[in-house]
Amino acid sequence: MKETWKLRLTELKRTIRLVLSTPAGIAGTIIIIILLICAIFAPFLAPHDPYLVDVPNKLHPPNSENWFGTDIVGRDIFSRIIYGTRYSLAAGTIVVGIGALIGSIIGLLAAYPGGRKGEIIMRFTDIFLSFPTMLLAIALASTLGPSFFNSMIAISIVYWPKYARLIYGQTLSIRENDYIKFAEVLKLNNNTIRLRHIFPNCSSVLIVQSTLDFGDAMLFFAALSFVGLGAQPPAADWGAMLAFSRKYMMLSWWTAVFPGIAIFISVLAFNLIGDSIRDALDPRLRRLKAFKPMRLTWLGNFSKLLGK
Amino acid sequence: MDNIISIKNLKKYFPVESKTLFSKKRWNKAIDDVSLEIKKSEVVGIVGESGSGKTTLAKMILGLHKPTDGTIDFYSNGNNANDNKHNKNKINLSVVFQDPFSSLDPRMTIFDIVKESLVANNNFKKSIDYRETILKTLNSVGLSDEQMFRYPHEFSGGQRQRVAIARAIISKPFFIVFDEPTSGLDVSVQAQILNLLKDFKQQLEMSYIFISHNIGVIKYISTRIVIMYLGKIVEIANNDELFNNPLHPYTKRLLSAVPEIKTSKSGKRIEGILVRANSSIGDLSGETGSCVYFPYCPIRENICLEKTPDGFVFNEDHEVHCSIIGRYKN
Amino acid sequence: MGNSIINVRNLSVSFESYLGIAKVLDNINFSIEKNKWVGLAGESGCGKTVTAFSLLKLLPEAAIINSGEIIFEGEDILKKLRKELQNLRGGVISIVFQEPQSALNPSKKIGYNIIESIKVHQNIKGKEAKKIAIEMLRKVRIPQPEIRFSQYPHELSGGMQQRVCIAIALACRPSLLIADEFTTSLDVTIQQEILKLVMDLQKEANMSILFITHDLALISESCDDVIIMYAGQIMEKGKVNKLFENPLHPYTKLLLDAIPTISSKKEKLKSIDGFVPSLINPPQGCRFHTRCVNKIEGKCDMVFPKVYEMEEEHQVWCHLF
Repeated sequence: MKETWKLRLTELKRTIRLVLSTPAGIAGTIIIIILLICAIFAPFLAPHDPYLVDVPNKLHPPNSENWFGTDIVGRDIFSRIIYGTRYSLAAGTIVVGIGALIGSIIGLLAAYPGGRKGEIIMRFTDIFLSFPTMLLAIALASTLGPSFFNSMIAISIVYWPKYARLIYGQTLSIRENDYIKFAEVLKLNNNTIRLRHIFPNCSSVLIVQSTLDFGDAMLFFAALSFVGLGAQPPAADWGAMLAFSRKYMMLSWWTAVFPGIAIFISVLAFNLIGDSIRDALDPRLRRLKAFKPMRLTWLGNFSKLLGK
Repeated sequence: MDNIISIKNLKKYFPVESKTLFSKKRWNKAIDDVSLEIKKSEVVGIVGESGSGKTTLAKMILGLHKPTDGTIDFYSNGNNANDNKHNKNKINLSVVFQDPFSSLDPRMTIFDIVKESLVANNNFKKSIDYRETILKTLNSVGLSDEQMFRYPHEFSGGQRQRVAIARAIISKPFFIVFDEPTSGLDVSVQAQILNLLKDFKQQLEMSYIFISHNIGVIKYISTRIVIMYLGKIVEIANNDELFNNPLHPYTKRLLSAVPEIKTSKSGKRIEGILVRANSSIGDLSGETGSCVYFPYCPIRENICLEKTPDGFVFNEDHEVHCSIIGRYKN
Repeated sequence: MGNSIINVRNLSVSFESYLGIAKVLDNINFSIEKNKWVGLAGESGCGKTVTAFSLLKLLPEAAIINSGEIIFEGEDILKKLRKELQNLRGGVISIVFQEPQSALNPSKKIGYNIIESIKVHQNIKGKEAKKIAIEMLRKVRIPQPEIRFSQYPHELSGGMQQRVCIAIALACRPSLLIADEFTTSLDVTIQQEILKLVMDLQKEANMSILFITHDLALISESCDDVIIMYAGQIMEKGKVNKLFENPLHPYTKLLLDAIPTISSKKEKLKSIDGFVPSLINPPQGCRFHTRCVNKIEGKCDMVFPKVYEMEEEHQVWCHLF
């Protein structure tokens, strides 16, 4: 229905406006946009070929030719950092995407209509949750064999129970509402009720959790790459770069510091924007006087543009 | 046959969590042997206090709970709608709930909310007219066209109840169950809603089951009234008959407890007597097959402890479940 | 009136909200006399709860007191400091709320809930306090008070919990009890019992009661005086039997006609067209004019009417008079 899309668009504009009204939201958005641009336009932005080995040039500190210096085999670190955004963003998207998808399905199935079957599903989920996440991921990744693809699978498997729990909890409280009872009186089947009534009402919680987890997932992936189980060399991935630089960190600080900062900033950006989105979507905060939008000149005008 | 719903010996027991693994299984007898016949085009008002079972009864009629025992049969045009050869078990029911804030999906526009009800019951399947029908129905409950594409949170409680009513009537249901629809509303809004319902009933010839704890509201809207107490029906009578001639001691107690505005013009108050119980309620009732009102009844005798009273029918379909009063029948 | 224990004069309160400033109370004037029940009636949003909380200066941070004073025992409550207010609240002016489940601390036994109040206001501890607490439970007609003393709130029914709340409120023998819709969540038969209980206790304790409710019938049965509020303004005030016998204000009349009663047969309930106005930009003058059939252009929408006193103890604020 045209009208429903118009409404959804207005809602979206409003959320964006709220997010861009806080310093955290603005900072997060800017960084993420930069990351996206780097990832998409990497070939145009990187001054050198990230895989070009140039041994005589190895371990040069940052200079006019190589802004971030070179690594042990002479590759330009700056270009590798830019290409690295692809791996990190891909990792975050895939892991959170799969984890949320599987987790949501399982959570929905378990919580509605509930009962014995639901309990069994949740106990099964609890088993997964009782493993220490890093160990489980490492164990799975090494069993499957070290590769980017396998590490994605491993981390997703570690991630889905969190979403299952989240959606399960949400569904339990949504289930008590009278509009669900009305749908039951209409004799709609369970799947229709789940998809039409329950899941959309979980969406805000899901969005917030996914955004916050994005950063976490990137970090996880970097950790796996660091121990050699994620992106394999010669991949220009930040975690792999860190692993590679371990031996030479002390003398050639640039080989470790720049990948490290890249990871840090990306994770921070997603955390900031996740917080911002959560505040923007929280129905209670919407009405509080405390949440008055800050006045920032040119950015404020930009956000007002969206408000129109 | 004029009946559209036939409830026979309905029971619904909920298990009560036992304190230890080994203690005897206890039951909360939400509905304990209830029988009721509902006819076409009537408004049956069900009154009771907390624990009376009226909400459970409503849910069972709507199919939200399965009976522990007993049957609920629906008849349309004299045929039992539960027969598989007919409408494949699909009886068109509708409901308006008490809480206007949780009865509408906050992520759907009111247009979509009403549309869902229409499409689910009538197999409209993208027919061109549904938009017209929805608009007309929303107008008839007092909402304007521009409000169609707004979300529930933009409306007040009274307006949301109107949406709930629109949603209920649009599918032209068999009958509508109203579960305390005006309890959360202001008096003036309540009046608007009740007037609306009265009008609809006349125009659309619908049957209603109206549940409330507010006896004034029940008196205003019902044609026949059922009084429930702790899972049992204690009295059933036509509207005027019940207020002119209440028979069961609990009915009298209930009616005497309703506050009234005292002016020189107000009518005589109904007197009801309460006997203070020595033990807490529920200790004696039910378990031993006695009358459920025994602890508070001013006219109780030994027979009330031994036997659960049958329903005695007096003139004009006035049914009372009391062993003592039943003696005077004849 | 020399007999009044509390006098509210020209009280105006606003709330700051994200959408603007809501003028919740507009020039409220009333007084409560010793040993009298005053009923404060109105629909939701009319400001009756805010009025009650103002008496205890229990307003939220976002509240601004624009003007007015509340004189109690010669002093203005609104000007008191926190320490003085602590003695006042619960000790001299008590309150009973609508939901006993949320008024009682669920993790503490009943006895603790009552003793807490006694300790703070009367500085009595230990066995002495326990004796008083059990005596209060007995007074509110709770059977077996010694056993109930050691039970938790969830072990009691709604009616019993409300009795406990009344016991807590009366433990320090206040001069004024504020009852904020305290029977709304109870069954009608329990409501009658609790009301009778409070009526008896009031006579015995020589206490005044401010009874806040939307149910005019309850006020008719229990109160001496009644105040009708709408959208933060007082529309009509007077002795209960006079006001209900002869309601003057159009709003009062419509309200009475809208209530379905069991003693008289009503063919159609009168409903009031329109909605309660937003308090952020409330209508000027008499706030009911937007819905009033008898509205006088140029008068009702410009200035709030002066009081008209129809015989003694029945006042109405309406341009029709």
